[in-house]
Amino acid sequence: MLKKEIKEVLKQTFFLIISMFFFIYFLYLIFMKQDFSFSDTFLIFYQMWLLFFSFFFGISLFSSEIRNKGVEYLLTFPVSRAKLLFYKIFPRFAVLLIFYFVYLGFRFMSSTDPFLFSSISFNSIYFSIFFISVSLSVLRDNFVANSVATFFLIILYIFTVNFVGYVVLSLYFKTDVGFGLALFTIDESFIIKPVYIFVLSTLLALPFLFSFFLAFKKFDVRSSRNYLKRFFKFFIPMFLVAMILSFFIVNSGLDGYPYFDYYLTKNNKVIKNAYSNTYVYDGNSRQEIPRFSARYYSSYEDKTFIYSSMYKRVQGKREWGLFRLNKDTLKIDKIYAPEGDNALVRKVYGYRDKIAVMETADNFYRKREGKRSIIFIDTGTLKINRVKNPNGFFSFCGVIESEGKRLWISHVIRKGGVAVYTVNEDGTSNKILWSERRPLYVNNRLISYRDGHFVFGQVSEAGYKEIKKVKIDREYHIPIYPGFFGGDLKRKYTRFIYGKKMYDRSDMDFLKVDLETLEIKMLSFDYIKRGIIRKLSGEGTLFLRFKETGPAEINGVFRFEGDKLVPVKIFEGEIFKFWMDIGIFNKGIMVRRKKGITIYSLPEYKELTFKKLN
Amino acid sequence: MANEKIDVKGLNVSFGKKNAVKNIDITFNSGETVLIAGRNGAGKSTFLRALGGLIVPDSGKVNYGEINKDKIGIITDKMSLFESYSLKEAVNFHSEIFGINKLNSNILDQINIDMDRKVSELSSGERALFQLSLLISQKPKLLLIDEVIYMMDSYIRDFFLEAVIELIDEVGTTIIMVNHTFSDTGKIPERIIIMENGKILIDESRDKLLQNVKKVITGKEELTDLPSIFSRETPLGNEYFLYPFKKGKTLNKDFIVEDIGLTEIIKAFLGGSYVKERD
Repeated sequence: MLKKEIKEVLKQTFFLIISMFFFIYFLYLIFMKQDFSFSDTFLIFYQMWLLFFSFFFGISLFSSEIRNKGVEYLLTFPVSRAKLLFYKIFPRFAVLLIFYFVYLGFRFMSSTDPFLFSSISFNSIYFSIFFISVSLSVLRDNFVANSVATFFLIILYIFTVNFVGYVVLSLYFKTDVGFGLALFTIDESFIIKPVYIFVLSTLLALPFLFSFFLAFKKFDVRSSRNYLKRFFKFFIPMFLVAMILSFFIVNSGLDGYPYFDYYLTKNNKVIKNAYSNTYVYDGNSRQEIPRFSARYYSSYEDKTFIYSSMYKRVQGKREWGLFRLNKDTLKIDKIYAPEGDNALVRKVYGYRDKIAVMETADNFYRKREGKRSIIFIDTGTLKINRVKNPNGFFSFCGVIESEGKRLWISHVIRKGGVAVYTVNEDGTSNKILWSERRPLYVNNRLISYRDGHFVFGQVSEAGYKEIKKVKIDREYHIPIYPGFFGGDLKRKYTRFIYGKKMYDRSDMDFLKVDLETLEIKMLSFDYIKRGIIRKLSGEGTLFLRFKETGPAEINGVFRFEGDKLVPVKIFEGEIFKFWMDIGIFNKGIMVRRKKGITIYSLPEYKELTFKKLN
Repeated sequence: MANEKIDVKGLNVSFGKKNAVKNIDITFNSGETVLIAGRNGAGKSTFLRALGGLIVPDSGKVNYGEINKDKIGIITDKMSLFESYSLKEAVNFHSEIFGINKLNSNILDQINIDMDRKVSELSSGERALFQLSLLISQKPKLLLIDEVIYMMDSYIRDFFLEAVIELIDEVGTTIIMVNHTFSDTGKIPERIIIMENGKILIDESRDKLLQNVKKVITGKEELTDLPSIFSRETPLGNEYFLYPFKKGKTLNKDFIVEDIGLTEIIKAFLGGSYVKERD
């Protein structure tokens, strides 16, 4: 019998794989081709397809017998119900496991995270969906109706898992955290160890599985109603118990800190974004203001204001706006609202007295070419200049000023690289080059990457002029994500930029680019095995050292000085989670400990204290 | 000698609120041939399915003694097999599942079935015969046959019954058949069970039943002091079906006493529902 099941599962798997390729290829052709390669599209949707596999393998456990009118025949086999289930479930579960390991392989090999769902979200529901689907697979009245019912049961299950997360977190923070924050997003917040989320989702899936086993012991040729009656007799009390237990489990897993965004302003104030409001600390006092999302990577800060693109939920819809916070008076103004139900891109760029943000009517499934605009706003007069942006989603990486005119350098991700444009404030644009990596504009030099070379060039109103090409090892990674510089396009003079090369997950080297001589030099330090580079906007380059093995946890902060790597702060006996515990800002470093937050202010890394800051 | 008795204790099966089988206690002896008869909805097929393990009883138990599950064969009116299989595939699969070395192809040879045909392509009669040949190859100790015989034409039915008789002779199989009427089953059954409303009305050996049930035609007179299980008016006069009919009992000389066949006997029991389930 096992042979028959294996044969059947292999047949199903074959058809599912074929259909997966067709389905993903269809998505690629219709929606993704413009911006992604097929392999990227494949990875993006692979998880989604695996969830479908899991659902299908579960719901179709007895489909061949039902389709072949062989359920009675099956029950005459000289095997116990338990063995029957084993023969049925084992090969399907084995294939799911294989797919899962393939997924882990992709995840391991992929340097970025191209997948649609976070790892913990996917891990938590992948097998659960199988078990839930299995539990209703013996209903044989109508396959489509069963699939729809199972689908709704899965939705209910995911809702419950989130509900538990939502209630526990709301109680923990003593505030309504919003349903969106619940389970499948809290893993990103580091409030709870991922294993607890996995345990929670498994715990809530177990009643489906156990009820199925118990009800299946008496499964027979009578109508599905009999089976359902027995199934729910076991399921309802078990699920209620699991729910109660899950509250305690999630609660016991909350050992992190509540996830709040912190932002260190240039005048050394700390802005803390809580869930429903925002606090501003100036050293001696704390002031509560309406919610204002200040983020290092997406906000722009000038002398007086911080500018942020944010939305508020109004009757279930996102109402976007560009807001600014006065750092002295703490007053918040909305200075721009997009048209209709358009959204604003989070990232706000600024250059002297001008800020720029992109407005879009795109959504995930539909790209509306021509429906994107760049909004330029004069920060003095608040005059708005809205121009069409035909070049796709862009990022700005610099501004050239000549004879009172400004050319904004933007780049748009295309298949295999990025297209670099200069954009006038009247909306006209000009493609100046193609780079295989995102370009960097610093010290009036545009640094791009092509055919294994760094290409140094100069941009002017007349166009682009190449200055020098330097051969570079392909594996070297230069942290030139515009985000590392924040939104301020008025770059300060920088002599060196640094990159890294990972040999494997336990050793690395550095590369130093001299922006004066355009020379490249390799640097190697014995005491550095793993870590990441963080560029500060004009304030130097930092390196966050990870401990040598295990998860990416920081045990020291270093500063590049020419060819040297100078310790800024070595955390003896302490380890900090990346992103969560260490914040890098233009004006300093923030270190979060359970007992409170310490800020080391640039340039001397002097320790600042903030009363009541936690 | 191995205990191959089948012992049923307090068997109850319900479909929602309807009790299809009510508290049945019965024992089937090894090698017995039993016919279960009754009206539609009497619970015969449900009882048979419960005996075959296709229905898990709500309460009660079927004890198979030392009969292993692979020695129990059941063929129901659904004649469930995997329809997409060819006969060859079905034979191989069945042999593997039930540990059969060689298919008993005697029956199939008689009607000359092409083994490359799909199960779904067989006529009801062919299918019943095919399934029976699979079951016979198992050399079952217990063979449960639901109402499939009436689906066969007389030609196929003869093969079917012959095969069953051979099985009884060769293996000593206990055979329990369900049928509306006796005529389809020839003289095979030696024990007759009549069911009504989920209960057993009568459980007697065939011979005793033939012996103990008589039809008495009384003309216009009524019988009041004899154990009548059913009566009716006919153009010939009143007919009474007596059970148990005792020899030597003095009857009016004008009365006609007739032996009747099993089909009529069962009708009589069911007609009066065995005197409303024995009062």
